[in-house]
Amino acid sequence: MTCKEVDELLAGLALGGASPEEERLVQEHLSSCHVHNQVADYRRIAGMLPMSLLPRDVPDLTKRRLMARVYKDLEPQLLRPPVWRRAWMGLAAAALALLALGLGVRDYLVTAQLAAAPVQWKLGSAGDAATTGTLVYLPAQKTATLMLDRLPTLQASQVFEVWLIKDSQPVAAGVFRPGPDGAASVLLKGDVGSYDVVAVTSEPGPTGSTTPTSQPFVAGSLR
Amino acid sequence: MMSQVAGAEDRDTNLVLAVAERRDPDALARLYDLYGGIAYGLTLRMIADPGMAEEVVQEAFFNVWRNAASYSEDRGSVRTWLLSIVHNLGIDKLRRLKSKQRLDSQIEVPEDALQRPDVWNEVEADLERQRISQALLALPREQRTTIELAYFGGYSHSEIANLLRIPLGTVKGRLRLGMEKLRNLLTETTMELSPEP
Repeated sequence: MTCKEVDELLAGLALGGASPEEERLVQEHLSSCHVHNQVADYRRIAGMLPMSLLPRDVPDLTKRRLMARVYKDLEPQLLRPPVWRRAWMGLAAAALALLALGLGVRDYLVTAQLAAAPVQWKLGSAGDAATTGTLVYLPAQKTATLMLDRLPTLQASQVFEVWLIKDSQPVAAGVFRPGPDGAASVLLKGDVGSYDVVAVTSEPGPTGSTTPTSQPFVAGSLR
Repeated sequence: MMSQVAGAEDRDTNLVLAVAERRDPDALARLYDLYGGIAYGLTLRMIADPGMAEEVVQEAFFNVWRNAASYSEDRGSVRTWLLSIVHNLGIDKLRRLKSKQRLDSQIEVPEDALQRPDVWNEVEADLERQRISQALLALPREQRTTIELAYFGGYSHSEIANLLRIPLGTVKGRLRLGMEKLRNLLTETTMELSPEP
């Protein structure tokens, strides 16, 4: 797909009018072409369109149903075995012990929240780069957010690639390009907490590599 | 105005973080209180069926509950992110409803949608709503209709082409020109309302 063809579709894409195939082709193009500056503006303008409408009163029952689902969603975490061995689970176990001893900790939601609490790791520079980062993992959702600052300059043909390493075997977890401020926030899905190390390398774009072809410039232990 | 807006954005970001990091149901309830009405207004506009609109709103906020960690300020304000979830679910619902009923009524859709008094004819008290409504009204009618059909109607390029009996390229052109004009009209507003990089 050419830049001109992409430009023709960007407005429709932002408004939800592009077909899944058109969306796929445009996203594929945008992953390696960064001249389409209007993308963010179109998305922002599309996001403003609902504000042209008057808010409507939602029936009370809708909120009650929503919150019932939310509380139900919290409940199963009480039954999960304490497989997560970090500090938060220690707190959860302590809270459970207090509950068992009848010391007044009766709000089971507190326990549920502790069991689902995020785990956080710091990443440090592994070479000359000044990059620092934080990985926040949400065990209940099996989702992690990797936030990186002061990323090194990237050649136009390259992308950054995240690696999750277990038993010395790296697994590609996603590619990204830095924002204009040299920072990036990357969403990782899966059981991130089961790996030993997270690391980031520069790899050929737009899709990255299946195994690392350069040394990591930032990394952190997940143990 | 800037500080009020920034304050609201900080408040919203903190609420999403409370949902993502502490699984705080009260934070989700607060987000619902803030934006449930706008979300319902949007889905009613898209779907028209109150029962289905309520389902979409509930699903969207449950989606926020489950996926709050995916929010990034790079993607705009919490309100924009949340309403994009509502909009996407609304489009999914509309596309599942793509039925004979919808096709039969398609001829009436553009005019009916454009003439909704709550958007076009009432003097709105809310400044933001006024600005956005006025920007939409400043578009040539055919561009506005095409944007309306795509965003609020959930119609694809080819469906709009069939609906309005115009070439596919004309649909894409109208959307692009309309969005460019909105971009020019709302740039100053956008900077003020949503100070993003």
